[in-house]
Amino acid sequence: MTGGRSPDRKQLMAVQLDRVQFSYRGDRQGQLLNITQWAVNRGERVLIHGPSGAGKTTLLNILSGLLTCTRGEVAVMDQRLDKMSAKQRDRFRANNIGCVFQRFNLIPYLNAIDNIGLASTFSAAGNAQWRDEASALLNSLMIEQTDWAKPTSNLSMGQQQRVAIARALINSPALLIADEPTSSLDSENRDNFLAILMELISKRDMTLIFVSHDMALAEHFTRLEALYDITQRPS
Amino acid sequence: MFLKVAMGSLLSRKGSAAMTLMAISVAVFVLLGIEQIRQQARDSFASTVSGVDLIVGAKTGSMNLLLYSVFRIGSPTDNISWQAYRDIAESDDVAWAIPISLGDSHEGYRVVGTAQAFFDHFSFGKKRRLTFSEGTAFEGTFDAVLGSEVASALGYSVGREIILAHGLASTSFTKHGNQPFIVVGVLAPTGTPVDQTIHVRLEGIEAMHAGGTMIPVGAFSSQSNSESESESESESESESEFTEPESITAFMLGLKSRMSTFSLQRQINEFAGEPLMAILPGVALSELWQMMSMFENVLRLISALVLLAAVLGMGAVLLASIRERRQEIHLLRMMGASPLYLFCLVEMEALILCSLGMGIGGVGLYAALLIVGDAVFSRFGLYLDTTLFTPEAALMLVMVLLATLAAAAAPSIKMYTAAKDAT
Repeated sequence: MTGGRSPDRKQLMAVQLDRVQFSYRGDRQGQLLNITQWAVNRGERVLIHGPSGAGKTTLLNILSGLLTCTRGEVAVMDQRLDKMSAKQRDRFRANNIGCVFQRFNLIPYLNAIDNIGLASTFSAAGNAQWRDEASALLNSLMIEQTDWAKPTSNLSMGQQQRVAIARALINSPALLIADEPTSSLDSENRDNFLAILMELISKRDMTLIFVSHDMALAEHFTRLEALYDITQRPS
Repeated sequence: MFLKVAMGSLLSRKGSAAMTLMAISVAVFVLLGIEQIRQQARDSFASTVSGVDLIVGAKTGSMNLLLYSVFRIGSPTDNISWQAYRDIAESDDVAWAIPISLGDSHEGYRVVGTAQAFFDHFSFGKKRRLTFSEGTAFEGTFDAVLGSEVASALGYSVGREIILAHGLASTSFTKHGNQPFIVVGVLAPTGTPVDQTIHVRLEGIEAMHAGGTMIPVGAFSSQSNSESESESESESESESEFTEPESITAFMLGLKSRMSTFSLQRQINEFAGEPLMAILPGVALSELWQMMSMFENVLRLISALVLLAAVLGMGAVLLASIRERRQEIHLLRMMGASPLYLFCLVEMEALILCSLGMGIGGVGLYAALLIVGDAVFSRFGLYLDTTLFTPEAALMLVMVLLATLAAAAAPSIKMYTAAKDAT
């Protein structure tokens, strides 16, 4: 369940989709997503771009197990999500997948530290040292210690997105999913955010799937994918 | 951390949480307050008379006898002869006897002709004796002792002269104006009908009816004197000396041993000379309270409805909040929270509101009892105990908790489904 951090993980797959179809509530006419074959190797940094409404967020929700595909096979970290119960998927997500969104990445009525602590309570390990790890993460994300206990609504957008990274990484997930995390940031904050994120990703040997409409970010990634290509690729 | 999230969530909606909290506090206050008053009223009612083993009067219904002898409500069907009183009062089992003679009033308050034994033996509550807030017991024939409410309502104090009237209305035509009584004592509040009664000596009543000359003091005491004196002379116009009353209305008995209560009761009920009946005041009082259980149930129903309104209000507030929490739900789900976690989160918020409400309501009630307790006691003689945590109260709080959980089920289920569908 933990994603098996064996030395040869580079050879293993982070994501593997096989004949995946998705439509809301069995609505067969309005097929939202139809992916014949798509895979991401461990350690890859994938930038997915495409027009809004194309189903990028739906794809991410399927990868995180929040949505289950109507048919097909979904494997994340070599674990078949489509074969898990809802409870198992929740547990899997807490342990293996970190998420950062465009907005609303933090529970507004909790401070930065508590947001990270809350995320740690959902992991199977019940991380006892989460405070130390959270401190280390917040330090490396350059969040001033005086801001740690502030209500997150008092933090700037740039700070909030960086705290969100700490929150997403506290359970040491193998896969990080990011949905337009830089869209609410100005260019300076965006570059800052990306630099720190990429440093942490490579240090922790993680896989990154990043959705954005901003092609200017492409230089940070090892692979560029248009959602159109993913959905139309023949088998 | 779970608790922290629930608390934080409530604090982020301070306004609606505070209003809900107030509603629950008020409901708990009402619920516990009514229960408290109900219990105290019942206890106080059940102990209107204590230490009295039997009440004896002319044959009638037991309720009627209780009502007129103890509560001064209604009127006796018949009097009983002094001879019968003497016969019973002097029997071996009897430790003491208190004669009661009704029929006169002052300003609408009933006058009871009785004897020193009343102050010596009558008790109420948990064997509490009558005490005087002012003055002493009557000694002279025309001395009167007022119940606390009579004294405060009419503004009388020791030394005041009062004129008694025959019958009950304050505008009675037959006033015994020739013979005023003098107030010599005022009783402390008891919370019983004693507070609304004027007590005089039996001789006083007799003398007043006889025509009103002063009678030698101390010629009579409850049971054991002047055997030689003949009866049935009270109506005579003799102005020379006190004569025993021809009849009294009822009397209370204290027995040497409670074991003999039932045998004496049977003896009295089968009394040869005239139709008498004896009742056990405790039994009759609880029968009477049973008749008022309807009133109790209405009080309980009202407090239950207040509680229901409060928890439903809380349910509505929580339900409305779910809609604004869609992003929060999504975020929690992405962090790995299960729908069950979110269900429990809403129930937890309800529980927090409920516990705080119980705390505030309970403390508020305690404070209110401390503040008004003395006033209520001196005003109504109702002793409000401040011990709130009776088993009944605990049971009620458990019911409040269950009602809260039930009312919070609707928003919790909505939260659960929202969490399941969160994308």
